[in-house]
Amino acid sequence: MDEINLLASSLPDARPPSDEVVERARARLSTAMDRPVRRRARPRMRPWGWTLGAAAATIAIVTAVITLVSNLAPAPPTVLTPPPVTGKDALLRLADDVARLPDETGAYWRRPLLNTYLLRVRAGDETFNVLSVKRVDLWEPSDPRDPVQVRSRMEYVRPATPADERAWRAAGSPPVVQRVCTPGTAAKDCSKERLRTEPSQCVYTRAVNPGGVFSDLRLGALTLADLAALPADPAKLREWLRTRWKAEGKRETFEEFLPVSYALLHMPVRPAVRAAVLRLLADLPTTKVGGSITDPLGRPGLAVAFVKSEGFTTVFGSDDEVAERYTTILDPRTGAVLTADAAIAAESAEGLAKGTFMHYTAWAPEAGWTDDRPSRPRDCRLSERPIP
Amino acid sequence: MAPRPDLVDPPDLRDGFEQIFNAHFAEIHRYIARRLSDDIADDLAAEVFLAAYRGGYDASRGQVRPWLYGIATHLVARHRRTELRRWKALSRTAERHEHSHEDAALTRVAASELTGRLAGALAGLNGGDRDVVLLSALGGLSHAEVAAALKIPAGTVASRLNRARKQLRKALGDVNPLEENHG
Repeated sequence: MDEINLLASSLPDARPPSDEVVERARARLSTAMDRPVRRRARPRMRPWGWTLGAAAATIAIVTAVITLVSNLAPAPPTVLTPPPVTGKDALLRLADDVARLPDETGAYWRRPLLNTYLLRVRAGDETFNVLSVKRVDLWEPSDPRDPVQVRSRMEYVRPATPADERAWRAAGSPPVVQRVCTPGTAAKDCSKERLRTEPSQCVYTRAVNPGGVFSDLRLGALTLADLAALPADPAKLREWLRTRWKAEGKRETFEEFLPVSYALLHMPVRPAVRAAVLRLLADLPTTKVGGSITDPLGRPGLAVAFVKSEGFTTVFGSDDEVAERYTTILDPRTGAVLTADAAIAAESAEGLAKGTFMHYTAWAPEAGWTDDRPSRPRDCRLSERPIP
Repeated sequence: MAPRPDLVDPPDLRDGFEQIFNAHFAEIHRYIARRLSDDIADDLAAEVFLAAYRGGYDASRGQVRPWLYGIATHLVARHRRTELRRWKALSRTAERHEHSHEDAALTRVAASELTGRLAGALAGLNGGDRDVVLLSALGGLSHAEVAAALKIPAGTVASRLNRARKQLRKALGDVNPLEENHG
C-alpha cells in the first residue's frame, strides 16, 4: 500500500447519488439532447432512505410564456381524442393569431413549473396511483440589476384521481404508502411515500446575475435583451439560428439543429417572434402536430412534437417496460407552452390506462411577465448552490 | 402525418452517450462528492455530462473514463476554496475528534488521525498536484489515464505524483503506516 492507496481508503467516502439526482441529471442531459434520455430497463432504486424528491424527479426543465387560463385544478390525467382534422396548418393558423397579440413587459418574467410524476403505490389491500408534484418558480428580472430568484419545493403527494382517493380511504387513509416496484426489487430499494397536502422541502436562491444570461442555455448564452432583439421574420430568424448553430460547434447538420428552435417557445420572446418560431417549426419535417388535447391541468391545448417523441419506454409500478410517447402542449390562442415533455402511456398496464399522463412539466397559469417582484420565501432554506 | 427523417436515426451518438451516462454517472458523482460535497456533486456531476455531451465524444479522444474525469476535475477546480475548506475541516475534525458545521458528511465520519493528516497535506498541495493525486486515488486512474484526463505529458504526471507523495509522507510523520514500505 502506498500513499495513493492510503488516500483512497482513508478519505471519507460519499453516498451514492439519489435517484432524484440521477433523474435530474438525466433530464438536464435529455434537454441538451432534445430528446428524453431513456432509463435503464430497471432503474436502481435509492439505496438509503426515503426521499420524497426522488418521486418528483424533474423531467424537462424549461419553457415560457403567458397564459390567461386560470384553472389550476389538476384534471384526471386523461387525453381527449384528437379531432380528425389536424396538421401543420394548425400551427400556421396559430402563428397568425399569435402574431397579432400585443407585446408584454414587466419588472419580472415568471416561470412556475410543476414537475409531476404519477406513481403506483400500495396501502393495505389497496393499490392505487398518487401524483407527486415538485414546483420550481423562476423569477427572471428584466433589469439585470435586480435579483434572480428560484424557489423549489415539494408541492404535494396525493391520490391521483377520485377513484384513487377512494382506494386510499378504503385502506384507512394512511399517511404513508408503499411504492409498487418491479419484481425482484429489494425491499430496501422500494421506498415508501408520505402523502402531503402542504408544501415541504423548500429551498431557494436569490442573487443578482450580473451578466443577465437567461437560465435556459439550449440555444447558448442569451440575455433577455438578446431575446428582445430577435427578428420576427422567419427567414431572418433562421439566419439567427444559423449563427447559434455555428456557435454551438456544428456537431449536427443545420437541418438537424433547427428543431431546437422550439426552445424559444420556452423563453420570454415577443408574440411576433413566437409566431415566427411557430412558422419556422411548421415547415420542418421533424414537426408533428397531434391535434387538440386537454393538458394535465385541464386546459385545452394543441399537442405538438418537434423532436423524436415515440419509441420510449418507462417503468410503472411492477411493469418495467411501459411504452410512452412525449408531447408538448401549446396554448391554442397564445402559442405559449402549457405543458412540456408530457409523457403519455402509449399502452395500458396494471393501474394505468393508455393515454394517461405519466410525468410532465406543467406551466402554472401565472407564467409570464408581471410587475410583481419576488418576495423572499418564508420557511424556505437559502441554498448556496444553483437550483436546476 | 408527414414521414419524418428522424433526428435520431443516423448512427446514433446519443444512444452511445446514454450508455456513457448510465455507466459512469455514479462514479463521477462519487469522485466530485469526495472532493467537494454530496450537495455540490449532485449538480456538478450533471454538468460534467452536459459538458461532455456538448463537447462531443469520438474515438480520437481515447478512453471515456479519463475524459469524464478530466471534465469533472476541471469543474471541481472552480470550487477550489470549498475543497480546501473541506480538507482543512477534515484535518481539524480529526484533531478535535468531532464536529464540523461546514459539512454534515464530515461529521458522519469519525476521522482517524491518519485521515486528518492526509487531509491536511492535501490542503497544502498545489492544485495541479492535488488533481493528479486525487485522480489516481479516488478515480483509480493510471498514470497514462491521468495524463489523458488533464491533457498533460505522462512525465509531468509522474513528477507531480512524486512531489505529492513526499508531502503526504511528511505529513504522516510518526503515524506513517507506510514506513516499512518506503523507509
